[in-house]
Amino acid sequence: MSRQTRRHLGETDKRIREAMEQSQADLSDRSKHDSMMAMMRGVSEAREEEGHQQKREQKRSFWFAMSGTVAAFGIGALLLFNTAPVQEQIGTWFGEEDAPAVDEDEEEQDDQTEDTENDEEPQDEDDNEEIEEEADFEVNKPSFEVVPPEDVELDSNNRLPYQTVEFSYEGKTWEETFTQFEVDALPLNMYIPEDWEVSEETGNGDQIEERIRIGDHIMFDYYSPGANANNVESSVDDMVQNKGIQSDEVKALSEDELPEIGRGMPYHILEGGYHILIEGDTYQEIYYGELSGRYVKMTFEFPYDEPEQWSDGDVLLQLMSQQLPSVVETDDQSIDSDTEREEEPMIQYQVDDGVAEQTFQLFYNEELQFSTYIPSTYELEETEDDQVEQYIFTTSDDREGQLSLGIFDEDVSRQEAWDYILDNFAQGRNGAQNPPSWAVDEYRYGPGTDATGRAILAERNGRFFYIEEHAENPETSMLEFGPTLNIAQEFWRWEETDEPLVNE
Amino acid sequence: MTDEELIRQALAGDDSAVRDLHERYVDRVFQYLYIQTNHYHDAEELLQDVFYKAAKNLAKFKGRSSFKTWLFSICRHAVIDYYRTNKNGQHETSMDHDVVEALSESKASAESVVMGQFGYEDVVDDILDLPYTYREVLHLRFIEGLSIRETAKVMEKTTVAVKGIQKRAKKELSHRMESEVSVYE
Repeated sequence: MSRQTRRHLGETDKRIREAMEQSQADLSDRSKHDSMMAMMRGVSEAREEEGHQQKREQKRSFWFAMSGTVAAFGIGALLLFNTAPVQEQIGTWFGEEDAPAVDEDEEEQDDQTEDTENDEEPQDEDDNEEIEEEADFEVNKPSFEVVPPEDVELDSNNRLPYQTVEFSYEGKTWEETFTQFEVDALPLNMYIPEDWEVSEETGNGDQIEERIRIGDHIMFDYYSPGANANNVESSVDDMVQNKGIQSDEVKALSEDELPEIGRGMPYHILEGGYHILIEGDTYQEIYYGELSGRYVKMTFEFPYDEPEQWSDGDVLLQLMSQQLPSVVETDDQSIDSDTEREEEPMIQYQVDDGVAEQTFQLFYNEELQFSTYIPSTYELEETEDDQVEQYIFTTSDDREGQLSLGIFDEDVSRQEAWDYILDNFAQGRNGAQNPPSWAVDEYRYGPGTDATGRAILAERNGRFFYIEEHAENPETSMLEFGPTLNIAQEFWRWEETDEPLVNE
Repeated sequence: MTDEELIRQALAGDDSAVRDLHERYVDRVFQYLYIQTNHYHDAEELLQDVFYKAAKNLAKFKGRSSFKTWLFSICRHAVIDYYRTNKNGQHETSMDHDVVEALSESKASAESVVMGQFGYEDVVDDILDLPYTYREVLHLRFIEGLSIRETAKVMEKTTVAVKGIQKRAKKELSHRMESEVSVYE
């Protein structure tokens, strides 16, 4: 800052101070007196309350001391003067002998427990018998190793565009390329065998909302929000019935037999699965579990005589990662009638190198007709400026940082809106490189400022609005308000068109 | 004697400590309330509320912030309540009438009151016409001399937000004052 600018600022401050001093009004003696009396009244109540408090504490101390004394006295009395009835009673509790020492006492109790257990009716061996014969086949699949390619640039999401997988099976080894794949219908990042075609179907009944087919062998069914594990299992039962598959051809997998899934998956998605081996026909693997609050069923089906392909599903599962943030299913799902969105979903999101999970609350704005999610622990403060209506979300009274949304008045131009952002939030140079595609402009706190965060200006139907987060402490921004801003963007939905904010 | 010492003595039954504490802050609190409400009589009424509430909660003051910051937080909440309950009753700026009427009861002579206001009216109007948060930040920073952090504590905002509001408030007031000057020129 030049000396001239500093001097100018100093003069401005001086003028403002003088102006502010001029706006002062003298206080009348009567008012002074009245406020003094009010203060005296308050102090007198405070003293009274303090007095009561002290008495209460004294009483509590007294009773505490008394109860301790009484208890000690009582115990002492029992031990010294009146042990006979107790001993008698102990005698009946543990037999006719005198009260045993403590360790013997425990032994006795243990014995009793054992006796009780032994007294139980023996279990009917038939109960453990399996009602239906269950398949117990073993399959021999290719082993594989994922070899990340060298000298390949990561994409904007820090993902490799493809992965190389080395397979070996019965003395043969070969390599296959799996390319990056994601589809709007599923919140998953995946790699699938190169050149396999992908098709999407929607609303084909049985509570399956989306079906994604990958090549001829892989199928994902993503169920509607109300569906549960029983619905998925019923669909497998139906398929088994319809195809006339024998019970010895279907193996229900125990938890230990479920495959290891994904890198970077926040939790174990898979709940159950089946292997179906029909000799001379097909080998199938079916897995299901909950993903972002909805059930997904994954089916891998390969020709019986092409066992070299049987591990493709395992590769896909191993390279799979969940897209975060995502909603986690909770037992109580209360739906907002205006937006038809969950009112308080549990959301998982990436924080630093871990995954956090917390409850969010629906935020709906009537003015711009959008809804999104904000942590339910945040406090909301609404303020109106001469240009903008602000919604400020904070975590505590100390205000180490905040997340805020601002909606400008209709007559505010883009330049005025941007000036507002610079005036309100900017400090130093703008560190923003590329504003998000949906935004008009972005300000990021650069190095050398005493805040971290960003403010994004955007426009909807000719009206400007902003989303902003900042914190004094970089950690607060990185761990608290930064991820929250990302979630607000991710879950943002324009109600009139049902479109997200982020289209990329 | 520090504020904390006065508080201890006041709670222990020393009325002169209460009077000292009151005397130390009464004018400052009133100025804040006046600039925030833009209404002399309402500020007078709020003044009583603020001192009553502060005194009643004196034992709850734990010294986590300065007494001054704590007291101004109470003032702020009183003003928020005031605007909440007077949502539909817009208060016109009736500076001249109110101030003159009130000051007629004070030590200041009517002449000095009128002279004091002469030439400043426009500036005062400029300030009183500023948005509520602008007036608040300017008052706390320029009259009370609170630091950005203390101001943030009173206003329950982040320091970044306070800096932003202050920047806008100064800009707006400067602009208005310059306009006044240019009108007279």
